[in-house]
Amino acid sequence: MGAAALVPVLILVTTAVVIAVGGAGRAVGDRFPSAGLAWLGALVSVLACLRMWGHRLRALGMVDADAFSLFLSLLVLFALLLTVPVAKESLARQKLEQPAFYSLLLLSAAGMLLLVSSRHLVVIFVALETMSVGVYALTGWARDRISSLEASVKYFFYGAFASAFFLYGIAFFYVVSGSTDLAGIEAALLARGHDLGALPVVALALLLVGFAYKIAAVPFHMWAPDAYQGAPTVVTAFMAVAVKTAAFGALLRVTGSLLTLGEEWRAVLWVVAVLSMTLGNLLAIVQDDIKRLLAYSSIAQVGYLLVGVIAGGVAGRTAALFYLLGYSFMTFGAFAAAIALGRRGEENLSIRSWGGLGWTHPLPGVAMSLSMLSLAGIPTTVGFVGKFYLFGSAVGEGYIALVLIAVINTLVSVYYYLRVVMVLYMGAPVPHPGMHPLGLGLRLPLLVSSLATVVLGILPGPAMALARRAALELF
Amino acid sequence: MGLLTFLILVPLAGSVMVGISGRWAHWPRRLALSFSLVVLVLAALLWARFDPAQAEYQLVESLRWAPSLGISFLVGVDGMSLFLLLLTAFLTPLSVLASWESIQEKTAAYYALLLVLESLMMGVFLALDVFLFYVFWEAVLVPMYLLIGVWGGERRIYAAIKFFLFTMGGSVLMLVGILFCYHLQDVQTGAPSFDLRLWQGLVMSQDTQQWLFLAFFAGFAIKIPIFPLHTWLPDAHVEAPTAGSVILAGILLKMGAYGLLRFAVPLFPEGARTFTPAILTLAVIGILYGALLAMVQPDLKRLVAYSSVSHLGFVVLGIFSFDVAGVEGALFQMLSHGLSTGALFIMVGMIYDRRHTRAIEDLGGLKKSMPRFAGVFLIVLLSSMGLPGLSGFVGEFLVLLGAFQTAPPFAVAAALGVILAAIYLLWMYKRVMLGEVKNPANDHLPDLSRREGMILLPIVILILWMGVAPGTFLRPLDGTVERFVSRTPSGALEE
Repeated sequence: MGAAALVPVLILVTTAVVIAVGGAGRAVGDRFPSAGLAWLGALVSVLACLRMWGHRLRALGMVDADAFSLFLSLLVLFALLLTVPVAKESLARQKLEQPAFYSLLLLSAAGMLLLVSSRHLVVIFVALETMSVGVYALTGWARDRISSLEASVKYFFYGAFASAFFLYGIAFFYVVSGSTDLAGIEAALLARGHDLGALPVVALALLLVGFAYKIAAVPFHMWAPDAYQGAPTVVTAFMAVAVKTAAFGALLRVTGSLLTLGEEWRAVLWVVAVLSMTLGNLLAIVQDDIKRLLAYSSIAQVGYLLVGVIAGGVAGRTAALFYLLGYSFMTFGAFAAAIALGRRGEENLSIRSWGGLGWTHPLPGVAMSLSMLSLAGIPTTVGFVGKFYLFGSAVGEGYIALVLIAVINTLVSVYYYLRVVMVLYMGAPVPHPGMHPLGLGLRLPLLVSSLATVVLGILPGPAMALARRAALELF
Repeated sequence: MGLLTFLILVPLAGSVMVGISGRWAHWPRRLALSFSLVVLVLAALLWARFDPAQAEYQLVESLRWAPSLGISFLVGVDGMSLFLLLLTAFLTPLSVLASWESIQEKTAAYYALLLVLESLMMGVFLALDVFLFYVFWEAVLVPMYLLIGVWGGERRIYAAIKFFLFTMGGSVLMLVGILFCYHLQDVQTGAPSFDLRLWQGLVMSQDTQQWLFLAFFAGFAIKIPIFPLHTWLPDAHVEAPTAGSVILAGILLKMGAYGLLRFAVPLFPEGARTFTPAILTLAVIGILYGALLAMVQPDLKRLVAYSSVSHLGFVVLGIFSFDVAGVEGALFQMLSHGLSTGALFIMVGMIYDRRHTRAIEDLGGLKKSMPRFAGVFLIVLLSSMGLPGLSGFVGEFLVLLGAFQTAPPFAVAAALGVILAAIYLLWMYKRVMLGEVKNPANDHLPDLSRREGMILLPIVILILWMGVAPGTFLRPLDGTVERFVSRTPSGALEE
């Protein structure tokens, strides 16, 4: 019973504990290098993941370190590596930096790693909770801002509902199959043949509702705009990127084995996907707050991702995994740029007030524009290649109508994504009290996410091959 | 890496250099001019190495890109793309020169975008891999959007977003078509590929062909633009800076026609056959409607923009005549229109630089103080309206000749367009150049400067050359056009 597969998780947890204990009781301004430690912990965890690539380790019979989980773990860890420096710089501006922040960040990341690595529903549930509890707390981190607290509470209540649904689903599956292991459930159900009865259908429905909450798919998306807007922006970035990646990864794993139960589930997901992209895009058009805009945009992006799940097969899942990779970088770039465009004394998240900033602040301007073009799916960005393969996989499976709806949606989305570019480069300058100088903590993540957005868009081959290897684990 | 790759890479490298040269005042435009001239030399070299006797793709270069997905960096040239590449290489340095004085703000970004645009347009005309083509095709929108939106006129933002949304609206439908073909290719051969040459062997039912043709046609028709999808064009032209208009009219519109010739028709001949009568009707409506609207425009740039709608109607008519003369005429007309309309936009820009207006009613009697300008303007106008001996005549004549073979009623109606063109162009000339100077502001305007002369002289020479010795430009087209026509449903209209 080796526990080697758990090493990346354990590294994160250990680092979190060290930061929590080491940083406890220290006065503000005391130089305990919590951010540095957190970043180092994430880096070591990345190295551990890389070392395990290709070994297919299994721990406690419940946690796998196969290509699929390692691919997604690496995505989560990349998001963590980008988030920590941005957090240090942006929290310092708002005087919110405390060791506990990084501790919670690492713990929720540990939950995510576990979430994408397990084939066992109970472990998935525990991981989901570990991840979520950390993020609830981080959402309310700006304690003196009422919107932050409101966001936290809202997110928590919706999340609790989601967990309840999820738990019910697990219980039902246990009743039906006597197992909480995905392979066990599948085997038990297959053994029962065609006549499954209502219970497994209800069980899967409950699980899917739980996931739909977590990935903010319509009609379970209502929490997202408020939570995105209220949370400190760096937390929103982490939420939008890592939480979504982890939850979507688990969804891919669960649907990979359980969707075989019935074709009608594809029809349900079809509707969810179409609603998510259409509603997300239409509502994003009228937003002026960049975080709300990105919240609705991320709902739409989930719709695109679901296209890959619906298409299924190696192609569909490869496309979804690759898109998650691209989505991480382009979304993080957008949030980091929004932070970088903040002014002294205010966060300055209203797009309208960004007139001409692209010329005076080239790095955040270019990063934001690239992210927007990528989210819209304009070529030479990863967003284009990703959508191309998502939609291509669906066409291959005969979902032409779905793809038509999706491409028309991307057309709608171009309108609001380009509006951001337009204001940055064509808008009239708005007088303001001056901007913060950009430190390395923002510069490097901005540079990395912009480069990744373009490089993955021009040379998708290697990353696509990794995604394919990861997708093959689902069969 | 060979010549063709360099046609794409040199302007791209140039744009990087220009982008970082911003801190030295005059360097962006100098660098931009040098790089665009290097590209022109490369393009001339391409012409020299091109073998007109060969009908297939030449100088083909292929690089592995994402082999598991069937994507490769596959470029090649044939008669159709040869002259469009030359046109691109020719108009870009002229656009740089046309912007020399009029663009004073953010020059580094401006010239860098111009070179990026050149690189992408080269890519559009060179790509033989459909994925690669789509990447270039779609990416072209971004620099053009920025050129219009940042350096454009009063309503530039509206025009820029309208341009982007309209063209992308067509392209996304084409994207679905491309994905479907890719899927077919995968199923039928077991090897996913975007190689255009392989796609021509796809087996498709009549129904499939029709749908796929429509999907591709949607993308190309908006770009050309074919009536009634043209409404973005006047706005984009009026608001764009001069160089933007030149490239938009000179090259971007041709991308649509090129797409029809390269993809939509050869890949789905049966689909094309079904819709030919409808498309010919739209083309003729475009010719007449564009001409009639051009007649009543109070703004010079709008007038030229609507004349483009009319002239591109001839191009579509020629392509869908499926006749060697007609298709060659369409290609010739594309080149000729690129030159004459490019020159018209440049000259309207020169008038604007002097008078800060483009309203025809504010002008009049300009010939008094600008005799040389008026002379060049007249040559360009006459070419645009198709006077024998100038380039415009050859294209329109061949198009009508071809259309008379296969679609006589449409040819008769289109011929009316030639007459209308003469009316709106000469009437405009009369109102702008001739007559008494009523407005004192139109007196004592400086005639062509040396720089302006340098821009217009090469265009005038080419217009005359193409008009007097069209064979030089038609011969390299022969093989390619015959191959194209042999793949099209001849006699589509007899039924």
